[in-house]
Amino acid sequence: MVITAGKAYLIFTAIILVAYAIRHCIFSGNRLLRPSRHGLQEVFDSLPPSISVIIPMHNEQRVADHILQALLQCDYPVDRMEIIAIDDHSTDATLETIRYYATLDPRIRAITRENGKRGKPAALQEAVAMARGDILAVFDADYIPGSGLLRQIVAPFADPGVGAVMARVVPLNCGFNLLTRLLDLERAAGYQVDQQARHNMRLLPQYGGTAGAFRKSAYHAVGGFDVNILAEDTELTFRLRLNGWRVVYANRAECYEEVPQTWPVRIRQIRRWAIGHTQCFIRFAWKMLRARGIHPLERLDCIMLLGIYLVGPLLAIALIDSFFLFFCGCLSVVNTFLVTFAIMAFNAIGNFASFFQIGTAVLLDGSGDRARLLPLNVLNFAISIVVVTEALTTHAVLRIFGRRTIWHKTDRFRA
Amino acid sequence: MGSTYHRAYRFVATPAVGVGWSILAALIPGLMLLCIAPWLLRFHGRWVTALLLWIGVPTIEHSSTFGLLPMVVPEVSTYAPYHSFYPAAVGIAGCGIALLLLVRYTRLTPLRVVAGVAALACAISGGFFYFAGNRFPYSTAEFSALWTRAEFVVWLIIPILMATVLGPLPLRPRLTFLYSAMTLLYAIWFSVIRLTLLLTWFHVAGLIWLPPAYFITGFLADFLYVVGFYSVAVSRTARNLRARSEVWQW
Repeated sequence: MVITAGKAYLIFTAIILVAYAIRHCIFSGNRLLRPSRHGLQEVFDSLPPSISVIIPMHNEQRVADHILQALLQCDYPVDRMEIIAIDDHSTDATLETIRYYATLDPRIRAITRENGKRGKPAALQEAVAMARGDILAVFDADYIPGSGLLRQIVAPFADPGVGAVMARVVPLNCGFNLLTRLLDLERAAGYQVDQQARHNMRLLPQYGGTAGAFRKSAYHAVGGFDVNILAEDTELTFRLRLNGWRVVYANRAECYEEVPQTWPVRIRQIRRWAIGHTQCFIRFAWKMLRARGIHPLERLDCIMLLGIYLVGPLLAIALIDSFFLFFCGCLSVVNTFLVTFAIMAFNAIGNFASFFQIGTAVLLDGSGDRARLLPLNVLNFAISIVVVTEALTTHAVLRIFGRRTIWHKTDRFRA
Repeated sequence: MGSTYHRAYRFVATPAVGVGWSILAALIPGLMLLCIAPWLLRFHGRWVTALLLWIGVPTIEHSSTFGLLPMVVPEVSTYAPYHSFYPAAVGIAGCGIALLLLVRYTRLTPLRVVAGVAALACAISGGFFYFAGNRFPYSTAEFSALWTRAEFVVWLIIPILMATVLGPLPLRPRLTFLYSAMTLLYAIWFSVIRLTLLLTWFHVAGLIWLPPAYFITGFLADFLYVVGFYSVAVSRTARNLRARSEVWQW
């Protein structure tokens, strides 16, 4: 009975993994073989909508002036733009930096948060309440937008059905060490292939919470951010879609970010994403399954997108299961085949970016030599499976005891 | 806004006919493999046996089957210790190393994870052999048969995998065939080398190492060289594309 259950679980896992592998192959095939949709990115509007750029900052003195300088150099009409820089309980010189820039340019508004709930969703909620623009763009403090970025991400809002727009994120410190190079490959696959393919296929691209923008009226219509969730971006994406808004990906709009340079920082990042994403899975999977007016393929893809971090623990259990079956003498050729195929398929998954997707992205980006690092991406996979499994287990245990998971800010490395 | 060349607009666009030919070309090594399967499965076992004898490990050849296909599987003498100091030491050492490497997740690195999981596998194996080593279900002959069958399935998957990932690339079919065939030949050669080394290790150090060896050097290693060949193909294609006049999509 136990052995049968073990075998059944392996087969179930293999089916899930193969489904994800097929999804990623379809996305890569779409990017290689089909033309792209670009969502009004080349529209030049002499009178673009008013925009409020929101930058939540917590101990960001290392990077604060870089993003503020970059935003001040944007080619967006001066009278239609404001920058809301929020100092969220910082203990370093972030507030002084913001205030200094606010004295230099009237477009910058310095906001201090010393009381209330900490964290990005809470800071954003407060900033949105005082924003004057029709479009709200959000940037993390370590991001550096190019001078044309704001115009490019605002252009798709000419379509009144668009609720949010996501830009492409490109690491600026990709040459620092092996980890940053691997993350560069992962980001390239995630945006150049995954997001753009979803946009091409009229599925749901994800608003990533930074280097993106959303319509203020849409934000209010869906009830704003939930401050109790770790992935407020994913949460907003799904609430917008369930309320009939579309999310657009703008591949031409590139924003530069600093990726983690050490494994501990990377681990904290994966933990936060895994927990936040899974919170959204619990909240939206069933709603998405029953949603009306959304194409069944889009619904299926949304559920796979939400469940992507559950694959880590699923595979961890499958590996323990195969170990058990191995010692029971039951590792027949069928099981071997399934495990083999499953392992091959798993390496094509999600945040851990499909190898095929990475290859496709490298090809489309025209940067061939980077592709040779592809086999080393298995290092990312090794870390991810352990960290995601640990994070979700810890989160579940904390929930059982009625405690909340603590939000950890990503450390900055810029000198 | 002025239109400028940008990578967001690059369009590789391999024609459908080209994709079809490429997929067929990548599948040809798989078809050839099916044609020579009976010979190959015997050859694989005999090659391993020859290498083991060359190393100096006494080896016996057995006949087995994979479905209707005849196989040759080598068997080496080994021992399966139980209730002794050896498995207990392996188990305790593995457990200690795994705890040391894995318990503080904030200090994890990929190498710590891989080494930690390997140590954990050794710990479980040590524990099993200490308490129930006499009930270990595999001999080296059974392991060789299991290995050969599973590897044969991997060899069959490789051309399909290569057809899927190389098919849409703007590669000439003969190059697609070449990459697929090279990966397959490497897979066969690498399987022989790994099985030989593992059987030598079991002969020297005992069956206690079989479970960790199976899980650590098994199919993940197969996956790595497939990705390796794919990465070379992509890298070369991207470089060739740079030399061509580009197709831009607006």
